Amino acid sequence: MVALRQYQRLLFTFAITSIACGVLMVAGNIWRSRMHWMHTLGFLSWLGITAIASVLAYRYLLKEFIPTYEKVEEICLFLGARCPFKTATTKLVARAVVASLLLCASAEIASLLAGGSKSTLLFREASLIFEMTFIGGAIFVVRNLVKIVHRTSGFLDELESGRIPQESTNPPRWAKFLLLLVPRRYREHLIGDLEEEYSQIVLPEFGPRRARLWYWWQVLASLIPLVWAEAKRLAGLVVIWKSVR
Amino acid sequence: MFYIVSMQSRTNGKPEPLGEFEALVLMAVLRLGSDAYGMRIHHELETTAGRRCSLGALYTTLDRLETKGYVSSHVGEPTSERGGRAKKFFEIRATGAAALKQSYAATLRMARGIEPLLGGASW
Repeated sequence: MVALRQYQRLLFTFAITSIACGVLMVAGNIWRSRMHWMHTLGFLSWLGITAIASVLAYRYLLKEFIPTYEKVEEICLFLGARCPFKTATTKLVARAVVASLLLCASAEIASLLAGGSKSTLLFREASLIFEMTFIGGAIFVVRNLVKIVHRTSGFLDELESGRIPQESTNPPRWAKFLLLLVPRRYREHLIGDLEEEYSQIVLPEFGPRRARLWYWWQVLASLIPLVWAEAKRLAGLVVIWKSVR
Repeated sequence: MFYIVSMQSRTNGKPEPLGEFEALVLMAVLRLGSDAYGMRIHHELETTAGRRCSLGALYTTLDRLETKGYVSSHVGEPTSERGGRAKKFFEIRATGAAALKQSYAATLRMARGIEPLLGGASW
């Protein structure tokens, strides 16, 4: 658990220093004629920080974190519980890390190509955009990594206190909220039917994630004909009212 | 206006022709008998007829059939598996059965002689 907290602190520090380096690089790029040293300083600092952070993370934290990760995965498999790592966020973060690194590398190549020559405005602009994206990417990656670390420590806390965190089997709350748009004369029976089919047929057959997707689809697809029928009925009433008056 | 015209066509003797989905829904109600309520009809349509639809579309069709006088409905007791909500049971009426019979007969008449073109009688 201590390792997780340290890892989280390291990530924060890395994020903030990376962003500072990014800002330096951008500033150096904007006022390239006078302050190109800022760009070089930013890039070199970032390289140094990444190297130090990687060594620190590996030597002191990841060595403890990886076995914890494996242990959590094993426990989840055994208990049939939701694993905090196997989420879309993890995949997204991995992709964002790769994208950020690629962007940063492209920014550097672009700024190298831009050096000195007069016809290199395009490269300079491109490198600027890449660097800005890199800063955004860094913020995004670190925020999500921190979220994962948070979730993992929460998961371990829950396991320690003897509770097994399960994936929610309730229908999606916002979809249920949308069902308030269903005309009142259908609402009660339709919601009842949806809940019964969800809990008795769809959930056991497809699992919570796909069942929730099914629920969303049913709600959205049901709203269209019901609201349309109600609108037509009301339009009909208006026509009758006008003709009678 | 539509309601008045439809009532007139029914009083002329012949029931109003059914749409394809309406016929399927009526058949599902007939098949399920006393257990015909929204979720069961929906499931029956999906498993037996292979027809996917939303519950909203099913309810609007059932409502239309009820307005035409082809089915009647009554509300059952609330149950816990539905979060304390009541079921709405549907029952086919004599006019509905007649309309379904007429629609089915028309389909059969049209299909007679074209089975080989549709790949044999197995369909």
